[in-house]
Amino acid sequence: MSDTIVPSVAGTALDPGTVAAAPRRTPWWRPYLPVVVFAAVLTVLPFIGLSNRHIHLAVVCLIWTIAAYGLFVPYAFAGQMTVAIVTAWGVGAYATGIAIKYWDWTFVPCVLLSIGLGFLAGMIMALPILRTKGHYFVIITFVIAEAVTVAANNWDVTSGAGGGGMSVSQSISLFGIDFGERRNMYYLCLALAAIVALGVTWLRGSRFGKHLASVRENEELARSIGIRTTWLKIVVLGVGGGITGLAGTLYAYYLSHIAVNEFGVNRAITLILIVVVGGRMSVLGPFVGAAIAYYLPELIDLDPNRVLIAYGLALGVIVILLPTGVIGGIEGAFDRIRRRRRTPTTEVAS
Amino acid sequence: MMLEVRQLAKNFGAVRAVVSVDFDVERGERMALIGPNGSGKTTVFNAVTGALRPSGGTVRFMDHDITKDSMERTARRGLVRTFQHDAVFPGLTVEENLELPLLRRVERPDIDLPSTVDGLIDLANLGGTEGRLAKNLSYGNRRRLGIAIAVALNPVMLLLDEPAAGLNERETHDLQLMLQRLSGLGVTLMVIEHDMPFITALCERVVVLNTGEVIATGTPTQVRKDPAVIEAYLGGSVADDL
Amino acid sequence: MQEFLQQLVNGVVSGSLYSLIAIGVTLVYGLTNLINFAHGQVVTIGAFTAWSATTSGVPFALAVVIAAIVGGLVSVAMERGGFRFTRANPINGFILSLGLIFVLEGVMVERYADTLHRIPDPTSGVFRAGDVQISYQRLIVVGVALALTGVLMSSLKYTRMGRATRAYAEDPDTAALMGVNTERVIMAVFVVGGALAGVAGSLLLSLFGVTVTLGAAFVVKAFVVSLIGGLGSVEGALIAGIAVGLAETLGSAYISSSWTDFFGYVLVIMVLLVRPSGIFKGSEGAHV
Repeated sequence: MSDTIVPSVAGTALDPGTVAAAPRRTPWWRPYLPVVVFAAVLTVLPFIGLSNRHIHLAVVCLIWTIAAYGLFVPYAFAGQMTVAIVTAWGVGAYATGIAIKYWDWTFVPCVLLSIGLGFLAGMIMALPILRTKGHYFVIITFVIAEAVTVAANNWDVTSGAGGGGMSVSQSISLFGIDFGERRNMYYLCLALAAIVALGVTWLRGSRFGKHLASVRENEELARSIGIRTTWLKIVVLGVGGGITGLAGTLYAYYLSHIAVNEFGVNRAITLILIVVVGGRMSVLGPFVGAAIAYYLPELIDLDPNRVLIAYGLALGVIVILLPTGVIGGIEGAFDRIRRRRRTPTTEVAS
Repeated sequence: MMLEVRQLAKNFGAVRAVVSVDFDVERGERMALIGPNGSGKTTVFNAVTGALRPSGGTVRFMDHDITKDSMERTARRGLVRTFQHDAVFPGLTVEENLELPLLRRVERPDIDLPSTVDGLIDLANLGGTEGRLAKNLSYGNRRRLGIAIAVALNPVMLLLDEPAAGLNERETHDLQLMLQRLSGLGVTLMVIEHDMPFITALCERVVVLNTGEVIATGTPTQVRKDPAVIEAYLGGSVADDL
Repeated sequence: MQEFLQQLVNGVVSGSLYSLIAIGVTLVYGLTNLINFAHGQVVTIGAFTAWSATTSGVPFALAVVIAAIVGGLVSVAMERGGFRFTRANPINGFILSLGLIFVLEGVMVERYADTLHRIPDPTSGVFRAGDVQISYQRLIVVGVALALTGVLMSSLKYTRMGRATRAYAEDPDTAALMGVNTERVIMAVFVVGGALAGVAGSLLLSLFGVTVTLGAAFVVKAFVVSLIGGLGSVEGALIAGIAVGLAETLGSAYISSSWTDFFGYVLVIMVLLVRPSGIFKGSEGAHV
């Protein structure tokens, strides 16, 4: 092995000079701020005199938000799109329904059961990743969602007598508070949604979150630095399933009645809409997306079929024109304004 | 012996891309693997790094049999490859690009490459680009960032896939300096390349492939004069390549 | 035994329809890596076009042609107006296709409502071979499906456009360098797929009648068929389509009829476990 003299670059065109000042490090709590502020605002909402109907819509909106986080985590963090996430929602809802109906379980055990089963379901449905290549997996998730729907329709426990679904006639009672009361339910769902959002924020900055980002950004490169991307994908889909499972419990309790066709492909498309329209860059995306998808049509009072058409158009427009979603679009607009005020920096000579 | 390749073979259906390839790379060496298009050097590269499963033969790295190892496993052993295209994490900043592989850095007994983002940026001469998104970097910068990502793992040996491809003269020079610095720090280098002047300036030994077999080895100067090599390149751009 | 043969025949009938629809999906994926779930809506639109034409007095055969034309137009409109912009990111194209499902199905519901639409049998009579019988209409369905598939397969092999398509599927960059007009190839594939889907829709109308949710039900099957046959392979779509049709009919007859759809899903899992890229290695298309 020859001795190589490393040539000095001092004084040459390559001399980097003084290295640019290290970028401002943001304080640890900065990423959590948007969620905290947003949750605080939502907390005071009922006090400005909203009608019962609005509170009802808000509760459902929050449940959809939590479900959407179940897709947000795999998709926004790791680039994994799945239609089968809606199946995990159904698993959570029905697990709760069955636990209440047959074993008399209370709220907290149901939540834990749903999260656990949702996580398992998410991972199991992700196993095809081991054998599929390219975009085959996305197709498989669609097929899985359909297949489970067929199976659930054939099982009388889930399809109910004569296909009527299952009713859940309990209300949540926790720390002596009756959450059957709508306003209380609103706060419970808000609290849970905020916890999920904070958890997701933490996840993003964690070691796991950084690994997920590498899978999204350049999977082959990630593998070349030793990351087992296949297992990462399966685990993150499990995490998504667990979150959606939680939404399933709340759904079952609040709506008191669940049916198989509520957890099929159409619902999945709406969930995808929420995540895509809300925006996949900001952690508040699901909140915004759920509000737009669920709250807006109620306010405008559209014919349900027209709502579907509007959903489809919104999805198409956002995907093509505003791929980072509504929040991304807003942030982008602010960025452009800010940039116009600064002097442009030139690319460092290489 | 850092890397030992014996009777490596790879078939794609009826096509024998690699027939039988033998070569060694010694610790600390700077070696180049060259050959005309279709000679099988990319396939050899992929088979060694675990991107492809060999049809036959063995690959030993630091006395471990890595023939059947996946790309992930091979990288964790300290044999890391770089990419010619798509070499970085495009939507992340330069800093973030380096933070992640640093999380996976492995302490090794006889090699100690920079272990901080700043150190890597310094090594790759990317000062000032920390906050920039990787996809917005110039071509040459992106190439060196890709290498820095691999270096962040503290690898014992680097396999570089056409690192000089598409670079202009100055960028090629910067690249060469970076690789020489790495070599000086003890990293073993194996480079797949077409750029003969680049190889001549950087590498001590060259292995030449043609139609899936080794046809010559030697110093860059020796190999340039080898009649078998000249003939292999005949029909291609002889003057440019050699 | 005769019951079994009868089921075989039925399976081939539904299978050939699956093949027709699957071709559109598999070709598009093979070329552009796009997962287009809105293809089912083209089937629906074709079916209702044929219905409107037939109920206005147009003879069925002509209605099928009209459905094919409309199907091709709708399909290429989706490409020009939407998928063209998502080529760099096929998953975005997938999401867009989901949006298109909502839009197109919603529009169809507005126009036609949620009821079953039928037309009187275009042909009458039954062909008998021993104890097995097949109505002439069903025979026509199988015949048309096989004929069209055959024409397509030979076009891909022998016409200039066909060779250009295969070249692009094999290596888009080289094909472009060699003068293949890639835009035209992609549009052509959408048109052909859409036309076949339109034909399938009109044939479905003649056999079973149609509702606005028809397409949604068939598109999943179309993808199942494409996966089994190998995404990008027309031969695969043909064989896999028949296979799925048979699996469903036989499963439904001998195991359980409430699980009909499921048999195809089981088949795809089994095939993918053994051969992850499907029976025929189709083409992986633009970006592997």
